[in-house]
Amino acid sequence: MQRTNNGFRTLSIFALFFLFALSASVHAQQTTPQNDDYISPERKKAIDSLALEKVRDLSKYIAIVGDKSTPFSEADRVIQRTLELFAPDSEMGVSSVNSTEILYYGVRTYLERLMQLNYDRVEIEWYNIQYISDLERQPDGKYVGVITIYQRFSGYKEGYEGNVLLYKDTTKKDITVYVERKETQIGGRTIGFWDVMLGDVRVTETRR
Amino acid sequence: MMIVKRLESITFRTVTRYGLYLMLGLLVSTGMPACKAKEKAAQKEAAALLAKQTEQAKKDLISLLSDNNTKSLEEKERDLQAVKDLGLTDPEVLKLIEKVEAKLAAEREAQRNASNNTGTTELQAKQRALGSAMTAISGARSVEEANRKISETLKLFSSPDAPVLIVIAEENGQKDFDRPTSIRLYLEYLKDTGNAPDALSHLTMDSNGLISEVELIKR
Repeated sequence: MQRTNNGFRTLSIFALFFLFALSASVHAQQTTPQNDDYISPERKKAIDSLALEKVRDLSKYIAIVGDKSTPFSEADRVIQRTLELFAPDSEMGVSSVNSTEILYYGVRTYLERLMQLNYDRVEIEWYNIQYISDLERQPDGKYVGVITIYQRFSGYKEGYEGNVLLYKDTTKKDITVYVERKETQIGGRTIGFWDVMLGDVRVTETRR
Repeated sequence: MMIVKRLESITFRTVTRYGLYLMLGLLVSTGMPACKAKEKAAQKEAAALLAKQTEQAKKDLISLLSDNNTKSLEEKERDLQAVKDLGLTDPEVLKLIEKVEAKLAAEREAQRNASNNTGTTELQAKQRALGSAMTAISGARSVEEANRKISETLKLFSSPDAPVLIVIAEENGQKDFDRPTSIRLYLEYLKDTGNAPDALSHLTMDSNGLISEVELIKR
């Protein structure tokens, strides 16, 4: 009986010691984030803003490419800038209020089709740009999130009494965003930077 | 007979030996005064040369101390070094060397300050020019106007590919950057988006006074 009590006491001491060591380790991880993977809330906020800004830039590029008054050389240059925002093989969804079908095109094809739309004037406006899924760190070290936007599209034809609105819709689109820490050499120095790449743009809602 | 021959041989050897000593003695006694004279002449010559060098060095050093000396600082420094290389020990020369060194150091310092001030003013001027050009490009009313401004602005740079680094966050001295771009692409970005330019943080200039790198801070 005495031996059993002694055994129980020893086991309890070991268990207490183990729990103490475990809590100390967790505490250390929470309070001393010294490893390379740790990003403070301030830095994370800056990265979130950077990705949002890339989406805003995309909206401006799309408006320039779609604008019929943009000279071809300018539109062509802006297409190149737009492609640099996207990860390779990304796709853009296209929908219409006249159909339930959603078509997906490569980004270049989408932009070239946009340039050739059969309207005299095109207005594209993106608004309510925000995260629907925060940037989260993946096992491979990349951050992945989803930003949603609303797009208002208006296509006009020139008539005798000015421009006539031929088509109009509002679509909700979800854009996958990838952010990756990379390094490059500039002037003999190693520069660490956050590379934001946009992924597929999926249509989730289309209405008049 | 044998004894006679031996005596003859001894006598001959003795005569020869003493003859040699005699000749050596004669040579030394006649040659020494000539050598001494030569040495004295050389010493006199060296002293004269030293005096001449010392006199010339003093003149040169006094000329270096003069405010009317029109030589460049580099030329003055070369002249001073030439005097120092003579290794003169004349106390007056050494004092003058000290004075010249102090004067040239002061001139060097003044020149450095003047150059720094010019550099700072030039950098500030470039910074102001670039800042206003970026604002003008992002606010341009037409593509043509923006393109013209971009062409003008690129003249401030060593190359249209000069790197532009944009700091998005900084913590404990560690900077987080956006993807690096070039000045041409950045100016085009301002034209396309109409965004307010990011704040100028640092410019790197090349030896021709052109901007070779820009660091901006995200607004």
